[in-house]
Amino acid sequence: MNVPVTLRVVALALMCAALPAHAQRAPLTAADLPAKLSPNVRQVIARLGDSLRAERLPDEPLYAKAAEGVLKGAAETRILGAVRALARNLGEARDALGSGADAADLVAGASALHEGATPAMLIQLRDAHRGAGAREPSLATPLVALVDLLARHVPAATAASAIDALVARRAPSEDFAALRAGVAQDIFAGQTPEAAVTQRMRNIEARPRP
Amino acid sequence: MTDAVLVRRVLDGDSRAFTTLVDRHVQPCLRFATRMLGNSHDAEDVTQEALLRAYRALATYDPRSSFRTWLFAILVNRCRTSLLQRSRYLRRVLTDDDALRGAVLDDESAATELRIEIGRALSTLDPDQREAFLLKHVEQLGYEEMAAVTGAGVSALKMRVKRACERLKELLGEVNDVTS
Amino acid sequence: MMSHHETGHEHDVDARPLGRAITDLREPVPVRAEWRASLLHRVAALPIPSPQEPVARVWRFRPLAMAAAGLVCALAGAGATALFFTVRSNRFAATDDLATLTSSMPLPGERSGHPPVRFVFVAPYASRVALVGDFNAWNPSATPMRRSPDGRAWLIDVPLAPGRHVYSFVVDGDLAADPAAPRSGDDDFGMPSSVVVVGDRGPRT
Repeated sequence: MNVPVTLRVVALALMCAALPAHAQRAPLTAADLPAKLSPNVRQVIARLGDSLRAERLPDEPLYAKAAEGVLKGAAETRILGAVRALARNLGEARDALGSGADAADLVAGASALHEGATPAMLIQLRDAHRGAGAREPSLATPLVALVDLLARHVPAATAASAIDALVARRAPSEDFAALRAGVAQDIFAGQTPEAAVTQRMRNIEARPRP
Repeated sequence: MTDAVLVRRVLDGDSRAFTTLVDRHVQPCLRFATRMLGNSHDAEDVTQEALLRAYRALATYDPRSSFRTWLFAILVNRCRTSLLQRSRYLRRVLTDDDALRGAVLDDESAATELRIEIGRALSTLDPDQREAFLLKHVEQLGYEEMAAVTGAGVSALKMRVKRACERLKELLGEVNDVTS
Repeated sequence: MMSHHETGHEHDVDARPLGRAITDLREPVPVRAEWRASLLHRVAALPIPSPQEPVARVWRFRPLAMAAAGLVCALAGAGATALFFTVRSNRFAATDDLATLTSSMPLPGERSGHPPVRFVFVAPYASRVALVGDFNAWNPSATPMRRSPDGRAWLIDVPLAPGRHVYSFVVDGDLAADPAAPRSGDDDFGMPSSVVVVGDRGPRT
């Protein structure tokens, strides 16, 4: 569809006339599901989104995941499978992380579960976070670091205990970022993911607590 | 008659169609739950719970996807919840009674002993590894289906199955040769 | 209910301990008649599962002001964007729906409160590059990139909420991950994307 020139000109004029003052990106809804998806599949995903929202879980990630699948040319059954898995992981993440977890926490938690973390690990992480009396950084920081390590094929137990240790030490977010970057570097240099994490954690723990 | 057609019939009011669905799928469900939880009592409870939930949620089943996958996703979830609720990982060894109930009938003594040994070995596995191993090698799901059932990614699942096999071989006294 | 015995050996199961264990584990567990009866009895007591009302999902057009602003963004990146309006035959083609085009674009000068994150992709010979990710519904039309002054690279600044974001680039219709960024791990579709983590004070990788 070629956008008619007249419409563009009109639009430009309107644009100059009145801009919403503090407009945010509109949150994704089921209406944003790509037209390429068949109506049946869209309906299933929309219903899934409805039931997530009813449980106060974020539904945006579902629509983003479906859109990603369409862009990547995946078969609809595969897309549906991925969306369902994500919905389940969001629920499990909330079961593990508790009702205090915000959307970013839940999305990170769901990613962690998808990459191989267990619900028990998330519970452990949440408890360590509480036990350390930590409010800064938020739970999302260690969760995201956990996902990153898992995505690099660090064995789940090793990754989880490394992150727990950092949380228990009340490490600032820079330390989590440094661990991730350091592990990436070490893997690039030829170390196994597990060895990279173990070594970095040994160095960190040799330091005095902040 | 396909599963999808049976589901349609249930939704239209034919409850006998659900009986047929149950009879089609209950064997693998019960088997998975029994191997996963380590005893038939819990397995029966969990399987029944899963089938009831499936019934209640039947309207959300998408006929374009596999019913087995959908049902197993519910079952796997129930098994996990059961394990979490007990807040201990499986440590019990199958009792002789349980072993006998499931044993191959033609060679009782050997099967019972083997069953106990396997049960013990399985119980030492991390639940996620046990789950992945059972889905792959006992229920013989493909990795894509396993991903849909468990919510984990394919590479994470492959890793779990690999670790589980390594550990089981160790425990069962299998010598790892280079080709395995 | 008859229990069904699996006889014979599958080709992937051998006589070694693990193989024998697997064969044994595959033995069906007998279904007790009383248990089955109790299940069906409970099912009979439940109401017929009700199909939910299909929710009407209408492809809404956003308010004209948003559409207008979006088009201005499009015009601003005119060189690259104009090409998006032509019909493409490859599978990563831009959608030609006005609502989709405008729904996710940041408004110029919008005060979202999030610091913008700069994305860079080096592709001196590409005709058009777009950023796609979980923040713009993976829509190649939503965030076209513009060339750097020296023409070697493509840039875009996008305000992103704190957290972990997954993204990729669409380069002349082909999907490409960011060579300079960490991989996302299993993306469910066999095409891992890239990750950017935005802290409370800006991106940190």
